[in-house]
Amino acid sequence: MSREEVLRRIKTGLRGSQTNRESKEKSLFLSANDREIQGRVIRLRSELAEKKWGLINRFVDEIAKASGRAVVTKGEDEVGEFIINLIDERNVKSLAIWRTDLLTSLREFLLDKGLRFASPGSKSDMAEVNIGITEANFAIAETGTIVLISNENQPRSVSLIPPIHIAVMKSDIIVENLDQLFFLVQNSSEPTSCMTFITGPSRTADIELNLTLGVHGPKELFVVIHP
Amino acid sequence: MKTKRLRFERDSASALKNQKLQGALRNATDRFRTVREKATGEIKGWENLRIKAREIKKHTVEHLDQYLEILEENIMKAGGTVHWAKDGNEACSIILDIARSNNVRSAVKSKSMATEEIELNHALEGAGIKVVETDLGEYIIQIAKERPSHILAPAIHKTKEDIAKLFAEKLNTEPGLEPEKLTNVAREKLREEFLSADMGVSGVNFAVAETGTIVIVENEGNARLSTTVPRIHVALMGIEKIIPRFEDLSTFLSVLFRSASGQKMSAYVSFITGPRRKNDLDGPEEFHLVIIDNGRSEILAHEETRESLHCIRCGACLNVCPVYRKVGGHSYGWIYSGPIGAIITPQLLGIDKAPDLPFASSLCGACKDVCPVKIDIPRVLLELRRRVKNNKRTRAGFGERVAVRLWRFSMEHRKIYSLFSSLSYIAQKPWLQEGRLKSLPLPFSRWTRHRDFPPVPKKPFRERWKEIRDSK
Repeated sequence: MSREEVLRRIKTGLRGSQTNRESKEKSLFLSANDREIQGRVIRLRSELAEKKWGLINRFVDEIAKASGRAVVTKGEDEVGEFIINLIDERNVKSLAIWRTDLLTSLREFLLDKGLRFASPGSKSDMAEVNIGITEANFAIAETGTIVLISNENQPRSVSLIPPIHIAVMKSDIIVENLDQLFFLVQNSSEPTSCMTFITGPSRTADIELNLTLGVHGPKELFVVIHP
Repeated sequence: MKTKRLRFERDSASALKNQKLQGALRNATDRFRTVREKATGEIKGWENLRIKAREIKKHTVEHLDQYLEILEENIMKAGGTVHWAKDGNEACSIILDIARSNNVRSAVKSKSMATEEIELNHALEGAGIKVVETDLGEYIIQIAKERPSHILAPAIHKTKEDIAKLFAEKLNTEPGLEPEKLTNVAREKLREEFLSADMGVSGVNFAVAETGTIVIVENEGNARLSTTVPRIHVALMGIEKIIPRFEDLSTFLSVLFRSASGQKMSAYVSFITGPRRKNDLDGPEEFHLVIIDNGRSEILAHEETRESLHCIRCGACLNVCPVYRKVGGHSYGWIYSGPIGAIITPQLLGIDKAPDLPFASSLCGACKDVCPVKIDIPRVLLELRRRVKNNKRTRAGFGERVAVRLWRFSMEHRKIYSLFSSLSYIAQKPWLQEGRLKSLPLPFSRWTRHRDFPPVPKKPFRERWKEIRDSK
């Protein structure tokens, strides 16, 4: 079998430089114990909470640089208002939305307005959707990135197939940088089949390096922040 | 895989004469260089990040078998399937088998150097399966039936007029469309392909052993579509794409975008761990990872050139290389171009297939200075040059060997050296034009074909040096 052959070739190739090869337990994952990690998670969260407004402002600036738009609202009513205005303005016929706690009342509000939601499980339905609404699970201030974790209530195509993507988020999910992000994702969320970083709308520069937005993914990205 | 001997000298000579290509190369490489410099200048501790990235890669390569086994185990735990291929043919037939057993009629592909390396499109098309490249640059190249010329921007050798003409011919669009319109045409066409494809094929930027996660970076969203919409996702990776821990991604993502496109973060980064879970509404039902050796374990076996496996395919070395900037990607004859191509191609294809490439460098070291994982490319080039000259099929001809011996002999004997230089001062006279040597006879004519040779002075340097010193 090729598996054994490839591994054997690697081992043979590395022979002679085996001096540095410690056992994998030793060299690999020098993991701290769970209690220590939980302590670090709590400390990091409170550190971030203190910097809240600095992080929000940085995030809003950075997302603008990546051609996305972030709006800081005063609360739930304003979130609904922003979205309904956008729907009117863009002549939206079909929507798709994640099923999360934060989005429950928004969902009901939009249903009351007579809007209908497509099923993310159907490719043909999704192809007709104008706006996809998700909730960011994390955000990174330094890069203006939102992080979406997909699962049964949070299907990946909602942020991908429609031409407009709106992500709603709480302000306390913003971290400063990648180090903090990977630490928190690994230690405070369940592993799922897919996680996605989104930084601005889809873009390409493949024709003479001319920047063009919306080549495959959404052409517009809005991030609506709960205070 | 049969490969003919690559002809760098011939191909680069024709690239140098192509004025349009020269302009395109200058524009693109200048732009990439400027944005890279800005991005790497803005981040604190850039040098430390590079050192850290290099150390992680070095450690990983030295424990490669162990990490690959951990990766395999974790992907299986997540419900994915792992396949191993020792070469390109085997990888192609594994992917073909997956396609056949699932009645795949069409496949969408996101950009992947590894699939180019094994000529996967050719294999799939041969079996009657439609394959569509979905990265805009790759799509352009595919309909033009050409090869990528830059690791990051595969179609940089084409002007927007070229592309408008190509689309008009092949896709029946109006002639003379602007880039934005062209992009929209591609969006529409490719949307249909995504929605109807049975299989999505992608590459892998990083594979995390600890979690069994593959990471794909992109700006367009085509990789997300390829790995989300079709029923089956096949990812292909070289054995060296692995990194040990999830947290190591922080280091590698920080250096990759800045080096590649000067971005702090690309528009999309996907972290995929196995297929969709039981109650998920979308995502592929099957996830296959094909791990391919294809000559890499041979690179690993040579400690002097092992660091070639650290490469994360950012393309920064291409943009700063005085040779790449003039000759472009196609001159390198295969999919990897620029300084990294000059070291990887001869090692993957065999030194006798690409004996010119280790010499396609001035050894200026600009590549080493920008490499995010600090590969000492000039040093590897020298080692490969040594191998070319020691290889029976590629070593220098009799004439060159005699000439080098003579040169060496005269360099070691001062009197002989002086004699030679006095002789050449006299001998050069018939060829002097306006005080320069513009066209010398064989065997020196290859030098003067592209540039003048300065004349041999009457008074050698050491005499002038002596005079200067004595006069003080």
